[in-house]
Amino acid sequence: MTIVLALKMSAAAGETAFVDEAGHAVTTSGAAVHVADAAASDGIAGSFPSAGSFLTVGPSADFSFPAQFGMGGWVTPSTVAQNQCIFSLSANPDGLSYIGLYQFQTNSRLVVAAAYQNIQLVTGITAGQRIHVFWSRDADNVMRFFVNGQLVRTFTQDGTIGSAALSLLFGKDYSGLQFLGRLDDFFISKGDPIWTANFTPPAEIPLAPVPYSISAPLFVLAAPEAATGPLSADLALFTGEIQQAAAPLQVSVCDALVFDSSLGKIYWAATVMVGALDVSSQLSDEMRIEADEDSARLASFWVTPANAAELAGYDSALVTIDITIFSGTAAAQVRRFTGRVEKTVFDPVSRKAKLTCRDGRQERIRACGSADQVHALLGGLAAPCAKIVAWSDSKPDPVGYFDALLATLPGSTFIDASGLWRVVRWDILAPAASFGANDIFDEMTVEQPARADVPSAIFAKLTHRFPRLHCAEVALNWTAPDRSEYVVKGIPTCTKAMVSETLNGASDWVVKGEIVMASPIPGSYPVIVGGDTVYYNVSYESAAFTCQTAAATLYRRWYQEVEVAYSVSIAMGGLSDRDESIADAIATTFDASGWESPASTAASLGIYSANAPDGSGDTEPPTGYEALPAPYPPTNSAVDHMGDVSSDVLNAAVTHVVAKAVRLAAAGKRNRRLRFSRPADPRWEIGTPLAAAAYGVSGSGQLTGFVDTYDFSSGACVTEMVLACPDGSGADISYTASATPPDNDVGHALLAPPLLNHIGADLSTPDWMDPNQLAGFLCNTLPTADSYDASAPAFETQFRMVMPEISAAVRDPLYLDAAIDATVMLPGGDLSISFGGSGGGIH
Amino acid sequence: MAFAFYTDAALTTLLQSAVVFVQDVAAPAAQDRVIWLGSPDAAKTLFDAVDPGGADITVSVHDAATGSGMPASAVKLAASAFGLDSAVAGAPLALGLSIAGGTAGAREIHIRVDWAGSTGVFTDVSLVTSEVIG
Amino acid sequence: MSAPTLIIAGFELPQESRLDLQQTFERVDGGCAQRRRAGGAWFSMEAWTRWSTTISGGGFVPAPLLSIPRGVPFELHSVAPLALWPGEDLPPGWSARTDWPETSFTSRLGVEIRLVYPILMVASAQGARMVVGSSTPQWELACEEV
Repeated sequence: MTIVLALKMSAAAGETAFVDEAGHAVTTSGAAVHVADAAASDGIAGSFPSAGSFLTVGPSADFSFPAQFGMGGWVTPSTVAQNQCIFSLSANPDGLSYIGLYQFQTNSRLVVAAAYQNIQLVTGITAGQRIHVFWSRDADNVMRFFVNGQLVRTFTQDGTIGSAALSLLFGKDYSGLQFLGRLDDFFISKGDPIWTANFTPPAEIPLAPVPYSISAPLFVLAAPEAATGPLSADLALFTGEIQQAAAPLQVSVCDALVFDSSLGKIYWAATVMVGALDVSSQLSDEMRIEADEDSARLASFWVTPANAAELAGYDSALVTIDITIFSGTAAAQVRRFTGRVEKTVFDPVSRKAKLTCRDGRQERIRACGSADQVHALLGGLAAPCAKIVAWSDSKPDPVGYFDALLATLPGSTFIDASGLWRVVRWDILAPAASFGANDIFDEMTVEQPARADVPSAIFAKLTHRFPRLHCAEVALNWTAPDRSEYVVKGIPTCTKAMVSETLNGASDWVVKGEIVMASPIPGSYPVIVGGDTVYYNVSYESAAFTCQTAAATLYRRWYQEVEVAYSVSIAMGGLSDRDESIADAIATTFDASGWESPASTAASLGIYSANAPDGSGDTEPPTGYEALPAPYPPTNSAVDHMGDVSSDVLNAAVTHVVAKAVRLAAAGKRNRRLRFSRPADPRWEIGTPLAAAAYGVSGSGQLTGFVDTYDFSSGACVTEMVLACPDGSGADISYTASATPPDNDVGHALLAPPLLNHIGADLSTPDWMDPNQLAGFLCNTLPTADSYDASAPAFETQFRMVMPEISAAVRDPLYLDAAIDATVMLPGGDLSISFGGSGGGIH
Repeated sequence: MAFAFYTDAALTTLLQSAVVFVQDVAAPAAQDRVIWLGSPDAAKTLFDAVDPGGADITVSVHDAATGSGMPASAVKLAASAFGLDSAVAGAPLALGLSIAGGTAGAREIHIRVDWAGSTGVFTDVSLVTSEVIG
Repeated sequence: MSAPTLIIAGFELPQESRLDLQQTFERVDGGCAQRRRAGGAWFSMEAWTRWSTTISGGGFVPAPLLSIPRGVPFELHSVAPLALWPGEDLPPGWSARTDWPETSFTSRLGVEIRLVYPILMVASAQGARMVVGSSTPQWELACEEV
């Protein structure tokens, strides 16, 4: 490492001679002088008090830096009211090596300009503030800029910085940008950046005269001067570059007289720029510009390139086309196309190339990387609904997504003559211009919509599928037979296990909470049998297993698939009955099988029966459903589970389908069109309301497209315009749409099966009973049983239960219809045709 | 891509040629255009470079040929279409202390030209932002 | 009064080549189209105007006249004057000869007419044509403004 400059600026106050301790001659200009400076470590600094005060060092090969370097020193600006340069290593303040203090508006900032970069470092510098600036480049060409030893900016720049042929200036640059203030202890190292990380600024340059090489540490570092301190508290550090955007405007002030055909003659010319090249004088044959709603604007023209390089330069070049028209003394120049060359076909025989240009519409759509970007392209007028048209981040399809949403746009998109993306509503306002028979060439076409365009009505339907969640409960009670039955008929008792097994084994039904079963009280109970008193004994042992009474609530829950079709129709007034419908469907996301599954045994353990741990500390009464997944329908009722289809989502979906229907309806009506040609009139963009009247046809509508042809051979310049003149009322296209799910008034009142006691082989037992009514405790002999003994038949017992059926009406898929609450306004233009009288073309 | 003016709200395409207005010398009528200002880099937030966080980012009407051509007062700027009616001719448009990157952060710049002057094509006026950093 | 010199591609034709000299001016076809409007009125659209001129003469036919390269622009110092109104400009791209300056006269009806001998930049697709067989050799050069 070599120190190639060391300006300590430590001579006596008043001394005008400055010394570079690295040995280079220093020339003083103007009023540059040493002055006392209390903030300087040695009490002396260099002063540059006025314009023309500066130092010149070199030229020297030392000041050319092909690789690593470090340079800096102390700066005290006396003003921040103007752009200033501290020191400069080259003649070009915007390139190579340059450090400057700049003033913009009301706040100062420190800027390093290097290798054609102009980069802000810090802001908030004030007059009289002493700061240390340091700039280095390491072996990897990483530039670092430090203010008061703090790294504030990093960027990469290779190549040689500085110049061996030019002198180094202190106090100004080669453009005359003057620094006003004091400098102190400036030095430059060559071959070593010295610092590549934060450091404590040195109070002075602790170096012996150079050239010589020393090893690190380079400096005896001193603490920063307390009087000045670091700027860090006030510094705003940014890692980006300063940027400034500009948008050129071009205003063509036209004399509308050139578009007034009354003079009967116009002169025209086209100015075509391909890149930076004006090819206007090289055009031939025909130039064509065509535009249509929701389509790319195309331009094609023939040009004779001057040479192969020019031909090659056409590739993807930016193209602008301006049309100039003169008539009498009036003139107008209007831009008609901005785009890029899409394709070049060169004919080597005629030496002409046909350039086909596009406005980049598809590229913009394809460039979208998020749903938000697509929504932005549609100007916020589309009706997105993620449930119907979803954007996928993992597999983005911007074109598909755009097209799907475009179908909901009550208007059109296009790129205008300036290259600006435009979204225009299909409103039909007052005509901006009207063209009469003297403005229109001798051809005009009136197109009526096809039958398919205007059916009798357009239907919009949204189907929403969701689960209706039902819950029904029945209360069951049973009481054991009278004791006399045990004594007289000898029937066995009913065990708790048998009752529990039956209640818990009911198919699709679940015991809510616990079964409440009571045992008989042990003891000896007198029973009168035939006038005799007999004692029926209940032992303690048997009582524990015997069920005297049982009570339980059984519940069942199930889901029913419900499909609600929300619909609305838009009357079109056509005669065609063909079904022009818009239909979309959404479904609530729901794990039906998970919801319907009974709770696991582990989950249904009875912790909640004692105290529900809801976190509040309160004791909550158990619901009995805790172990089951939500949602919980109300008892003996049903709830329509909308899940992720909230009211907002439903309305968005309804709006989406209505918007599609509105666009379909409007587009159909807009196929009533008036097509005509006139002398080139590039003033009008798509969406402009215009009117035309000739041949007894009078129409007003919105410009949906145009084709300009400029024939350089024949001289013809014609604009063909197409107006949409829909049959409608009002000026604006508008709609509203919302929907409310149908009410759910389901109530369940299932009859609990009466649990009785049935004893067979008894005279009181009926010969036949409805098996579905045979529920409760059943005792009977069973001749087919292995244990059957005809001489001493024994009773077999059973606890039976038959649960009520769920009716199909609340079980099978349900289809409901509901209306969309919608208002639709379709705008209308005018189109009338008269025959005879003044309307005919030939009389 | 950089902080710049764009020709669409999705910030897909830089404004690379002039924003064109057409005026009728005999019957000038206000003509509006909208361009967008921002950075597609959603991770970036832009501040005024002179006084970051303390001063508004602005868009100004710059007249490169004061006294000739079209005056800056022919141009109105607003952040919305409705704002154009009440905008002061030639006045800069303040866009707030920062502009977030990404489509959501992009600012609409509504431009209205209402000027006749004399026939011709005028390109001396442009829009310029204050310097930003981020 | 002597006649203006005829200079074609820098070659001044000698007098013996200018017997029965004629020069005509005509507009080149194209560049201007007309259509009828819906109301029946005529409408003209003009992108450009160019002229063709044909010069013919007889007598000695010099070799340089026959060697005029085809399709290559050259300057033609016209011998036929163009009549202009006062204040009217020459067509774009034309200039007036200085060796035969503009003259003007007033007709008997009191109309002032200017006579301008123009210089045109032209090219000839076929070159000069020579016809031999009559009393003297004849030549003809048809040119169009480039």
